[in-house]
Amino acid sequence: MLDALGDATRRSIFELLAAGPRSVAEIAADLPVSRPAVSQHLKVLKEARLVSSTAVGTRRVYALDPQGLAAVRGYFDQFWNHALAAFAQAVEQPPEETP
Amino acid sequence: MTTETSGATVVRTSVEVAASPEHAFTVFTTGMDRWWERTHHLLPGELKQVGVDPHVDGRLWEENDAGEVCVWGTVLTWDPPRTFAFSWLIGPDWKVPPPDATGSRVTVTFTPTGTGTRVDLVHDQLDAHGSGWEGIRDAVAGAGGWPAGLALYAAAV
Repeated sequence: MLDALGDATRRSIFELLAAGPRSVAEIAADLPVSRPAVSQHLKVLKEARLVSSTAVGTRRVYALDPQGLAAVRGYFDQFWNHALAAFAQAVEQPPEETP
Repeated sequence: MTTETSGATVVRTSVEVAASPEHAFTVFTTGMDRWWERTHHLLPGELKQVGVDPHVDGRLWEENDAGEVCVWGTVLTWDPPRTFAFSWLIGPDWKVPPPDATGSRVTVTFTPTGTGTRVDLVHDQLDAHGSGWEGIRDAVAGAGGWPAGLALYAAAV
């Protein structure tokens, strides 16, 4: 299911949506990806229940799926990836910098 | 660094570091404040310190710049330099956990390799946080909080 986040572009889209709901056009403006490509990625993210969409006026706005356990997992997946990268940096600092 | 995400309520992440298991264990636990993302905190104000009490039943806690302390986990396994496990009460909304909160669980194992240490992290029982997910939209709507951390993460990827 979370193979959906195995793609770097989809991860970037997921992260953008973690910062707030966005339309396809807004996502495409922030990433080096065309609108049709963004739509395709969003389709995969929706099928994985990471992302849901709602109509706002004439626009369709995408957001992280508030019901999806997959989104919770996606969140913690990213959290620990980031945290372990920072941890690895701290571990490999020269010993004299260890408090 | 690799990530495997099979299983409905489990996240697995690993990283290899060029250091001994003893050093990696120490940095991960009592040295947590050195690598903890400063934007990830529960209490209002600025995060001053994140700490781990180094024994079973010890607290995982944070302190803010006003001197307030919030407990967000409990040490379940303290077996240096092999295994460190703790309960995790923090939902994706990063709100102070209620006293009766049930948490998920994080287990970290340190395995020596030829050149250093492999650190495997398993965060399971994530369904404990399912009901807290709705708050994430409110949390991310404001400035600060963990979205800034996500942005940093995105920049680092």
